Amino acid sequence: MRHVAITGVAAGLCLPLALFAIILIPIPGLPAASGFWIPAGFYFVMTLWFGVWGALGGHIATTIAMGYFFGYTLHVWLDGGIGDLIAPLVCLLVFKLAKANPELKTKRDKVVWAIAVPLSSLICGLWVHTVHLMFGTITWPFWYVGVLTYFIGDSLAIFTVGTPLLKSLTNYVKQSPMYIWR
Amino acid sequence: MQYTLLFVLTFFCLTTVTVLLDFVQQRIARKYHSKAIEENRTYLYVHIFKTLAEVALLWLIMSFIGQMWMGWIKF
Repeated sequence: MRHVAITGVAAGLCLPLALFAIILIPIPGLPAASGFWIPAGFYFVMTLWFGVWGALGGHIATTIAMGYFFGYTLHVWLDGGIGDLIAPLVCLLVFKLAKANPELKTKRDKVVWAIAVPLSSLICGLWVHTVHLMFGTITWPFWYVGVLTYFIGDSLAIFTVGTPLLKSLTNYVKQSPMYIWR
Repeated sequence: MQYTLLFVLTFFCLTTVTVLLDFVQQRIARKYHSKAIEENRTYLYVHIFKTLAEVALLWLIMSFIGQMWMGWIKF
């Protein structure tokens, strides 16, 4: 039940952020893309704290924000939503493999964070825009623009919002029984 | 300045000040938070999610002002 609550809160927080990120900084020619994907800063952090439940919240929020409010086709809904589910899980996987700590206290943890975020954003961008390209939603030149936008736009947002959140709140979150780093 | 714009900006200013003051208060009362969390676990989640919501609120205010600046929202 508590896990569902975590997912619900993550989704509730990310939903308006995803909506206004697309409205405020749209990328012409790319459906549901934003140059500064601010919800990623939140669901990355919540995934590093609570695992798949945080990622699921981001996935639900971005799928609804991109699909329902903008009236895109089911393919665009799911493609973007799954991309936003994959990205924080890749970051979590990198942290697990590197045995890094989300508190970002040591230099090693910060380096892992600095590598994991762009890597996750790149994988998300590659997934979303390759699927778009295969379905004929975008043309070939926009594939590069899309991948680059996701790589830079997502990474910037995650570093801007995620870093202070991890550094200031992880100390409290680790007292929760749902914190995954034990 | 139109009344709607005046009202919205006043609301945003007060919200921003309230959120920033809360951040300062959290910093000052850091050692008491741990004690409160030990006594009541719910406090932990309230504290975390309130902070996340406050950061989201600041972003939404910035995005609104950004949209006014770009001329997408007019008063």
